Amino acid sequence: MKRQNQSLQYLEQVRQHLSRLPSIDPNTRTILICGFPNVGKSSFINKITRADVEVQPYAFTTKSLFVGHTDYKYLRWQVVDTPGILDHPLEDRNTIEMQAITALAHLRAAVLYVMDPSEQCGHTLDQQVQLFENICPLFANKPLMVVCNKSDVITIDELSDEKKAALEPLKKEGVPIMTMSTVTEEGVMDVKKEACERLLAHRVEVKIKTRKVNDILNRLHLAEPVKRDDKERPPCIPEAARKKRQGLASKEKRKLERDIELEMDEEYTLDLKKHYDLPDDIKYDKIPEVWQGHNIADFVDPDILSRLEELEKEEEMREKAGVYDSDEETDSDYEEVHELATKIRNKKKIMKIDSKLRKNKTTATMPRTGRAFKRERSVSRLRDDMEQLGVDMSDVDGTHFVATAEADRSRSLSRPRVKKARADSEGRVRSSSKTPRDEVGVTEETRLKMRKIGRNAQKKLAREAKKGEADRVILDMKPKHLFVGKRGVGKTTRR
Amino acid sequence: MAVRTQFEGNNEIGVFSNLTNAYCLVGIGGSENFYSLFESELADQIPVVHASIAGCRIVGNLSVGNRHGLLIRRVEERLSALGNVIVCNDYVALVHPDLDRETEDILADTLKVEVFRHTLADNLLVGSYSCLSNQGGLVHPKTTSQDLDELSSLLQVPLVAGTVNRGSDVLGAGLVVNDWCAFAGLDTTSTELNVIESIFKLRD
Repeated sequence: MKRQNQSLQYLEQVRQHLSRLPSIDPNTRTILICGFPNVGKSSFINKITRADVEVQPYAFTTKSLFVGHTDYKYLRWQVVDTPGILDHPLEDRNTIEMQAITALAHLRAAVLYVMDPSEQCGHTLDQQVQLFENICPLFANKPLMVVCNKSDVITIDELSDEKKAALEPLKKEGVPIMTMSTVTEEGVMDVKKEACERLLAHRVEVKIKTRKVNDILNRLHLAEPVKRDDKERPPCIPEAARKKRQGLASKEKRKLERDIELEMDEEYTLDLKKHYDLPDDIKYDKIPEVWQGHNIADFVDPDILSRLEELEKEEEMREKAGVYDSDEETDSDYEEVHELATKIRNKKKIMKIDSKLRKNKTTATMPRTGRAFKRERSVSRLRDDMEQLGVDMSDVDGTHFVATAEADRSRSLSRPRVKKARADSEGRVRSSSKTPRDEVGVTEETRLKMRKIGRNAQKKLAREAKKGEADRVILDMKPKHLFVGKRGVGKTTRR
Repeated sequence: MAVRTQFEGNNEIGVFSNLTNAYCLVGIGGSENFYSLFESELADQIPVVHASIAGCRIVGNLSVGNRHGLLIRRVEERLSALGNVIVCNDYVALVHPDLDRETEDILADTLKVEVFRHTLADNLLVGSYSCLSNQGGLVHPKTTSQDLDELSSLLQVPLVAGTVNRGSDVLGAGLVVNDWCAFAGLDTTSTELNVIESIFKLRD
């Protein structure tokens, strides 16, 4: 252990350093700021984000990576501030510089190379261009911009010709050069905008090359028809709709079916005939669809009204002639019905009195299970009862109770399975057209595999009757059979 | 104008209603909420009618119609749910490739449309997976760009691939439209509603 002490201490240092690093998302939109020390990188990040990086007028104020976030086009942009880099070979670089280099190498970001034409940072313009060219390989395949800071001191146009010449190689490579001043804030927003636009364009370009893009592109595609004939196909919008759209229609609120429903509450029934194109007095007349096995529609007679009139006349004449005067037969029919009705009424009265008497009893009401089993419902009893009531029970073939009595009683049919409502994580599924969550985005094979894994994971919990993995309840802390009774020899260990 | 609504907790409103430029059929539900929405939007322009077909309230699935007429199933036809197999506007109709020849003739005569047999993104049920008006059309989200161009020239309306009800591809069930009005399921997002309003030209 002692021999490893040094390595362990180093490891601890690394751990501490890593824990202090800001969380950088390598996949999101990122703008990386790099350049010589003291050129105004941190001032720039302070201007466009709320990172609040320390700014001091000496080199290597920023000693590690800083991350700020900014908004552009409603998207979140991550801005990474790196420590300054000096121009020397990779082997000579110190750990602070190496952070900037690794960030440059590993983040897919838009790179802003900040320069200081005023040379207040202590490095000449030549040196700065030199450094740019040396670390150029790190910029490959990234949107790149050169930003000349401190335009309040000197702008590019005011530079001497020699210095302008120094910038030539940059222009030759086609790198855009912008100016800004973090002191006066002039051009800062333009730089941010330009960098974001370039990165966005770059990322879209990369994405379009991938295979997945076809799924989305077709949804962004608006297919316009090519004319195939000279036929006009105008839309058909009624005048009323057009007026309503222009706000010309009367604002008067119409009484809706729902309002009526609310008003009438319980008594509401849907009136399907309300809007019929018939006069009000015959709108609600009842027409059977099928009458005595004939479809009414097949027998509709256009001149039915005149015929009806004829019939009515005939009827009148018959009445006058006294055809309907005798009504013996109807009387006997009526009497029969009346007799039956009286019988039923009497029986009802008796039953009512019976039940009243039963309710007055003083003994406790026992549940049906408590009593000795006595068969109460039987076919014969039903027959007797009904006959007593006056129902004709001679023709009962094919009725339910006969069929039940004759049916094989050995075994009842099992109940059909209840159809379950489908449910997913959102509860009951409303749209049955929506694919369930466990089927979305996976192939059938993977889904089955995943289900198997899921089931296996449940096995142990199910065996121990646990609710879930957090269920650690011990139902019986002191099981009685282990704690009662005398202990004989050697019983303690067995317990 | 596009409106979101629901039929008794169900977002597939196209199943329970059928909207055309000349009339609107609405299934008979337990309460009048659904009907009254259509009534308030449309009743001063076109008749809004309670309807059932063969005692079922799925009138949108079982019927297809336009300004010129209304078609419900023929007994001999194997594909009985016409709403699922036919989509049409006042001038053209897209039908299931296996539809009966006779039904096709009836369709052309009654609704006065040109009939085309076609599929949408390998789906035979063109009525379920698309929605059409005289001003535009919305089709299955997986339809390829070439198919879209081809179909658009066939139907002579601008087309776009899209979804309703928060990503459901069953457009015919989730959406009913005519030339000035649209109704979508309650789950429809505002993005989807925007697409609907612009493709069917429902804005001023």
